Amino acid sequence: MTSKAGQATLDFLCVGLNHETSPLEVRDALVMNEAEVERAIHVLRHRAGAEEALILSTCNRTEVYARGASVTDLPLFVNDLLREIKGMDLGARGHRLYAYREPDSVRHLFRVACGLNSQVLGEPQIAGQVKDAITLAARSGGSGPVTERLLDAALRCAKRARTETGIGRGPVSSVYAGVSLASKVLGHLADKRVLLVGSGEMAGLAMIHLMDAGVAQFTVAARNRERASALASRTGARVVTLEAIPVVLPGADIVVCATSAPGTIIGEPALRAAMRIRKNRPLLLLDLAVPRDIDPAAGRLPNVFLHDLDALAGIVAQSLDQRRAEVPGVEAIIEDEMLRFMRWHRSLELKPTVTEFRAQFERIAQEELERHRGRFRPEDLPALQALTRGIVQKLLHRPTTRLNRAGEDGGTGIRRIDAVRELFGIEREEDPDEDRDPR
Amino acid sequence: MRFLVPLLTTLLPVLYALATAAYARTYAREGSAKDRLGPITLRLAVLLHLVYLSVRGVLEGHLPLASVYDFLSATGFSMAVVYLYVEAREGIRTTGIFVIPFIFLIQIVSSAYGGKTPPDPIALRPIWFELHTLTAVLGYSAFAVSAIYGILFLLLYREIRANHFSHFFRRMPPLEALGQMNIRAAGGGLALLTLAIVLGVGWLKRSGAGSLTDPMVWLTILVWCVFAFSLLAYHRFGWRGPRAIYMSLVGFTTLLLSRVAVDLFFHSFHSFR
Repeated sequence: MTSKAGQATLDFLCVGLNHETSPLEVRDALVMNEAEVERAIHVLRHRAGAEEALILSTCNRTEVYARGASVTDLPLFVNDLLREIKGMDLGARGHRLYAYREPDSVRHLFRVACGLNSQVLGEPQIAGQVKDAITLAARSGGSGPVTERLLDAALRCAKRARTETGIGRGPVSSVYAGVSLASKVLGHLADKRVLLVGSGEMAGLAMIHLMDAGVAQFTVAARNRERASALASRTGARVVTLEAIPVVLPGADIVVCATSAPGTIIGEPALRAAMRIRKNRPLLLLDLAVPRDIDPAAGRLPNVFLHDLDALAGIVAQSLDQRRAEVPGVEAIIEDEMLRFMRWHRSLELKPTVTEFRAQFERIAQEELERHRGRFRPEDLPALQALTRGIVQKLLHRPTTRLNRAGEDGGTGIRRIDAVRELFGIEREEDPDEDRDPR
Repeated sequence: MRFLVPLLTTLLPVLYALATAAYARTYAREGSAKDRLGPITLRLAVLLHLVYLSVRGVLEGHLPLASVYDFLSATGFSMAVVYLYVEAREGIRTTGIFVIPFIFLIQIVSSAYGGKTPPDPIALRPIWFELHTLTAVLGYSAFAVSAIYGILFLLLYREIRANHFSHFFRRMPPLEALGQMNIRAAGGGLALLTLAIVLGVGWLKRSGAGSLTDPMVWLTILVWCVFAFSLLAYHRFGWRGPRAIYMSLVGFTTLLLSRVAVDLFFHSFHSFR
């Protein structure tokens, strides 16, 4: 089905898969790099007849958005496309692609941008990924006036969701929960010193989150000197052995333990001694290891805050509960933005635009005639009316002809209709917010 | 100008009640930490309270501190001033709900029972005495605010150590900030109390209206000693966390008990009886 400017239908489809419909190995295999996205958009434009196309490919989803595609079965076409580009036949593996037509396709895109469709509810990275998808689509010739407008609306929706609701509030990973807890206990972290015990993935993640929170002073204690040095090189941190922990412990305000050691790395006596040296200044201990690295008895020392993975999981669960409670608020924003977008799209209908455009000129001519009626003799008025009508007709002839052709000019035609409505303020009273910049 | 006194006597508890409701809303709703309604209402209440105290001062010819109800009203006013200062300095509005209700209660008692000013039992006019009472009231208010932050610190400290992450945990500022608020307010209170003692002793020596052996004098010096030790322990001996907070709370409890003892058990020229 072809969508032409001037028709009421948006003809906007979404076909794809995500973490809810496909396992990780399938999603991994279908992640497209930039060259593959460009190729896919080219195929969609030229073989599926899509007027506009966009591909959102992340570790959790691969989704094809197309407007005005002429193929009858877009899911089948996308299936073939993925087989051609990624070498994976989803049909043969029994995996199905979901497909949405507007308004559900628009709603789905907005939900994705707001993080409602993400594995971690409300995660903010997806909005950036949507933005990257627009840039890539523009570079590949896939974007057009409708998708540009649609994605602007989706990003505005995501921004509103984050500022007007609590969908992005609270930590949703154990490491981030630990860093939030550190801020809750110690306040600003910029001047705090961190001792990282371990040099694995968890320790690296903790370092990144702590750096994001402003921490600049790190000491890395690990058995594997080479890996510890690699981790330390990110911040110019000092590297020490595990045996040196009692020496560096009193100087640390935060201790993050994430080793795979089978037994305790930091015992209660070492912490008691450290607290004495640091004159009881508060010390936060985050034990991210299983089995635990820190003697649980240390948690009873005054001003020592010891939290293990179970405790941090409690914070994460609370944050997720709170985010779930915010979903209806986000849905309301999505419906509001959908309404605005659909209203804009409806305004692109050709016939009413032409009628309103002409009526506006004729109304102005009539108003001017009425205003100056007293300056002319009554017997001259018919001639005057004919004159002004003639001028208006002549002035409008070419724009009307060009506007009437907009329906056959695809994206250019839509832009033309949009420009006319914008320039002459058509329907401005109905939609006062239309000019608002979404970003 | 006289008409303002009964008007503001009624209006002040209403405004503090509205401020309490606004701060309760800020505390209850996640993401409402930047609500401005509470601070705006409280500032309006403080402004009108200042007008009320000034009008009373002008009409009576001295600071309106002649009865226990006047004292309560002035304490409520200075607690609100101290709170607004701490709020502006720390940029935290979620603790207002733990301070403003006390001010509301104090003011409602003052407004309900403090309609008549009793005959002035002591000469309130000398500037030394006026400054003495003013600094003492401000000092007591700072200690009260310090005590409230101390209690909030202890509650949050226990929640965090017990891995109990309730709404209270989420709405409170960092533990470090609560500790700082407690110690700064106590420091401010001690400075004001020191000034009050110096001014009071100076006034006593000049006027001979009382004696340095007055129970309130030595009980106040005891309070001063407790707070001074609390601050010394924090800054010099490195007392941190609950131990430092308990010390400041001991100071505030001593202050309250001394005030009650003076009014109930001792014969003192500081007594409001």
